[in-house]
Amino acid sequence: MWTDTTSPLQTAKMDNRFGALAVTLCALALSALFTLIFGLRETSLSDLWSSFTAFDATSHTHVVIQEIRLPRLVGATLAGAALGIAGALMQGMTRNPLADPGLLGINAGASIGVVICIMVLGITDPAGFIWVALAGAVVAAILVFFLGGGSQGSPARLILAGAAVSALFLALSRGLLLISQQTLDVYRFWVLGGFDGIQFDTIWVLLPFFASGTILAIIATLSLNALMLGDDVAKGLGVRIGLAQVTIGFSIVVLCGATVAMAGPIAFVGLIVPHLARWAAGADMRWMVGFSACFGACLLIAADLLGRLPLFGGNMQAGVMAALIGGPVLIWLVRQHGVRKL
Amino acid sequence: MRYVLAIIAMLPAIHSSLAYADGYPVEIKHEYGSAVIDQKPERIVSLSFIGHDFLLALDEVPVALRYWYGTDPYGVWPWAQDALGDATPIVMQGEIDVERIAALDPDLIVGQWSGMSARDYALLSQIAPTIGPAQGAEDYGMAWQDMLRVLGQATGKANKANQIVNRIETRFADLRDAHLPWQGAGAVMVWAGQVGTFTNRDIRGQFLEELGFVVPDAINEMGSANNFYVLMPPEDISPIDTDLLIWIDAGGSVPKLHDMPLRPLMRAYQEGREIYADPLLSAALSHSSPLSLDYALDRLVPLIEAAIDGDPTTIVPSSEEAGIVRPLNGG
Repeated sequence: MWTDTTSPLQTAKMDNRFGALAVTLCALALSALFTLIFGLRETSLSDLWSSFTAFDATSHTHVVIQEIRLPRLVGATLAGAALGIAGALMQGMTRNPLADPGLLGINAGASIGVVICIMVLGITDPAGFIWVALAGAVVAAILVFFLGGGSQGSPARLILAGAAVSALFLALSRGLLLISQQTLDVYRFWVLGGFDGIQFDTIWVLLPFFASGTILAIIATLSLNALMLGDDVAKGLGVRIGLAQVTIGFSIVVLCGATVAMAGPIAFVGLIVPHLARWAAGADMRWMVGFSACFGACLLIAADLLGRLPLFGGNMQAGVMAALIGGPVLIWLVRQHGVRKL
Repeated sequence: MRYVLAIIAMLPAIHSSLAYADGYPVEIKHEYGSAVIDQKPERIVSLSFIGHDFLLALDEVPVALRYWYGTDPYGVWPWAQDALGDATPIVMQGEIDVERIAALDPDLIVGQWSGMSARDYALLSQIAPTIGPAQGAEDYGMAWQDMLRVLGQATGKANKANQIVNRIETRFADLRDAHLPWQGAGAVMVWAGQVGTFTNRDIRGQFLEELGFVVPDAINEMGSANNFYVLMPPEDISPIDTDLLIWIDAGGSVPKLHDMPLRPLMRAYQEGREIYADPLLSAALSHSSPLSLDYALDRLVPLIEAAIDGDPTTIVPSSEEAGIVRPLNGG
């Protein structure tokens, strides 16, 4: 299962993967279409079409589609894909099926950045949180990296360092929030994670981070397949382990930092998506990363769409919804197939 | 019509001057029971987020007051500074802290607009006579007139309280008389931070109705008991597109106004019917206290006059300063 020699079985598996990928992309397109059409305001397919071909700034329907639903869709797609990729890299690098990008301290670092920003600088506009959240995420990740033993550290030590830094930063954030009610009022909307009021301005600013993180991830997959055989085997295959780990780490930080800056901390997506992807992709990390990106995007788009249904009060945050959908799916998967080892 | 309104406005004044007389003991019935005050209170603890304004209006300085928001070290806004003078009340932040209140050794606890629970009341009323919200009123649903009259009664200043209520109600009545187009026109106050609006159960909705405006039923029906603040989904903000739209800002809300995709399509935007209430004016409206109402009216009345005419060329100055008005050459 985890070697990649060409055999008739393997060829069959390749065909399966292409089939699965086609199905996934169709699901992605379909959920994107639903996101643009369904909402509080009724819209038809022809409204959707004309909002792209002949945008009328005085039409409520066109404005809702182009300036409310479309940015949500793009935001959910980017965030879902980024979390999926980061989760796959994280689980691959640490060889731990429970690894989640949040364990690198990124969400906790972004959180404390936002808390300090609200308290000290008095910024209350979420658009102003982008840079502090990103900075907080990077600082936390660097701290975790060095506490985890730098490039010589073992994955286990890295996760322990991440857990320790996360706990410390979250405790600090909570302590500060207890002191200031006003900060809490602004913070609690951010911390739920979601795409309410997201603007294309924010997306354009963060797009370079998503793009560079994805490119780094693709580069990293080339050595990840070898790395997952164990450090010694990888060394034997000529992989420079330190460099590979730094590339992977950098990719995770950039992707997750941009996501948390855009939509607040969204837990669980990075954990569950690689497990779903493994079911379709097998052990090859190149496929894993691709499927994780698609599944992550699908999951968050669906979560955002369902969260807007009247059933869930009309504005349930995507982060909460993703866990509500993903949880049962993960349980089913584990009971059905067991947790597949990397 | 205007005479009828004036007479109606005077009715509660006549009624209350008959009902309340000075002299102890005083019994005050409220939502959670009744408070019996044996003698004039000397150590008042105010748990109502706006209660200190009401006490200060009666020249009563509480020993401790509840911090709501703002930057003043004593939790008091500019309109109440003169009344506070050199006094340095203890400022209580966060939730109701029964132990701390007991240590203050109060002889009256005021919790009309405090969100206190029945459980809080059960504890607090063992420390000192405690005044909750009026019977049937919601946690934050008591009218300012009622809050002031009850406190006047409790502090032996019923007449003074009535005089203040009469004076401000007369001011409202005169404003109604002078502005017939306002009578029955739709109006809302909307907080831009998490876009939502106040129903007519809230003191801000009550303020609008005292000027003769009407909060639309569509909004009132979305609210319910103890839910006086209704969120507006970004895909449909038509309920707040009324004859008069006042944007309430607790600080930093202006960028949010620019980020509302449907706002430029509102009639209120296109016809210049929006008023931006800066944080100080917003706080005066949100307190709606005997001390803040005059300040709020002084500033707001000219703004309403500029906004309500439906003519985009009469610019609302505060909205222009905030940079939220529609450019005159189209836009």
